Amino acid sequence: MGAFAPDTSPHSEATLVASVRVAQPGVPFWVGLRIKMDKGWHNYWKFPGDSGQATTIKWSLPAGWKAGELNWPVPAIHPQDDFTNYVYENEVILIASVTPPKTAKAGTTITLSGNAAWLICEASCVPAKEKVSLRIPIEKQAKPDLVWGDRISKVQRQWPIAPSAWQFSAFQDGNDIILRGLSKAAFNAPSSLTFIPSNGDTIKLLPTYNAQSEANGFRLRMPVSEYATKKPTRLKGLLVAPSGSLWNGRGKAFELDVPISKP
Amino acid sequence: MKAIKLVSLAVLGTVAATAIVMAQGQRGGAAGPTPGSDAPTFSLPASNGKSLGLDNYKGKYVVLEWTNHQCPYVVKHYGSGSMQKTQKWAADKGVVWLQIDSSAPGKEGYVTPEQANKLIKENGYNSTAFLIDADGKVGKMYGARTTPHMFVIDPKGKIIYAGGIDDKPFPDPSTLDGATNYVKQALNEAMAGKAVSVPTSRPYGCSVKY
Repeated sequence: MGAFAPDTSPHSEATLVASVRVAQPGVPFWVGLRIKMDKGWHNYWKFPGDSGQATTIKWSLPAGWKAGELNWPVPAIHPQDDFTNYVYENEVILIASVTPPKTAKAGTTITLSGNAAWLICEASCVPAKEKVSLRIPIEKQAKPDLVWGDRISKVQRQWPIAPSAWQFSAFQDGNDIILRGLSKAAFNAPSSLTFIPSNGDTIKLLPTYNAQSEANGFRLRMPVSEYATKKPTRLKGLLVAPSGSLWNGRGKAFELDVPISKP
Repeated sequence: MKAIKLVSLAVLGTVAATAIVMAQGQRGGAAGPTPGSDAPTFSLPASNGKSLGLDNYKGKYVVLEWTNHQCPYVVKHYGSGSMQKTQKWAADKGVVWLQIDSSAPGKEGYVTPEQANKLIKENGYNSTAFLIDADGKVGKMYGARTTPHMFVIDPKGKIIYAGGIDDKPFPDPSTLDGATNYVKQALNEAMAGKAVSVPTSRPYGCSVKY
């Protein structure tokens, strides 16, 4: 096919892992889509940024089984070729809650599977697809998978957390959106405090924004997106904790959904 | 289980991902001209040996298509025949279609005139000309960020559309079904004397390999 011939080098591999070795009828457990990547290659967050494509999985589950939404660890901010993208390197485990029906039969083994698709990139990009599956026995009593259960718990600590001990508000000021954060304690806004929007229509995607300290808080000034088709009304995304710290001692980022009001 | 790969991309030469260190709140690269402004003039070597630019086509509708034959998003449009069809549709309406390759020598997508002519022949490109912008000057002048990245210019030399080729920013060819082609839409509307309903959209694709 000349220039459009297929490539065979993978750069990444996908598998399914679970927090249990044995599942129990009616009791939810965690299933992870684990993608291991070659060094130097990356794949994308649920909102990839200026380019790229989010990883997806179409589940094939036995009758009565339900899978929840994928949970995404806080991604890395990756400036490349004048783009800002939100990525994972080395390995990512995207975790969903899976619930067996109460009618699942003890003594049987079922297969959970899915068709995963992602975009794996270095300087160039390759679309990737893989069918992944996992066989899980059902018994009256669940049994944890000590290895993957532990790995899944570690990944869950990288999920964004709901904001607490802080008050957030946002307003438009000229061609900028200002995110204002107020806490009970004094706070010096370091330049590493930044924001990862979850869509491209609100603010321009930049690796850093202008952060200014206020008494007990900060203002983050972010230019409106050049692709906004109408005035943005909500600011949605991750407020990333300054480097080396965690919000409230446990979160890499707050997940925010703040209305944008007039000043 | 090995991953099943859809599309091959041989990386031309060795290319290291460049980490661009940016000053806080700023970035390199100016934004390009927006719909309503005059299309900047330029002249580039075409693969057919001529030197061509907007001045050669005064009074015509012109489409500029930033391309990179090794990008999976470009492959989606060409492998399916969809882009070639659109180019022919445009040509039948008297629209000039200029493909522009702003890949730097040694980077993915860069082609010599001979290689470009081979691509044109093998893949049935129906563009007016294939222009080679090896130093990236024209791409940067237009703020071309992705391949594809499309601009539609009216007979008065004004940009009436700038952005993505359609509303489905995915490399999967199945997403061509039901996609709204913004280039066709802009041309249809402008030629009917109507306002362009979608003058801009987020361009999608691989980054241009300046």
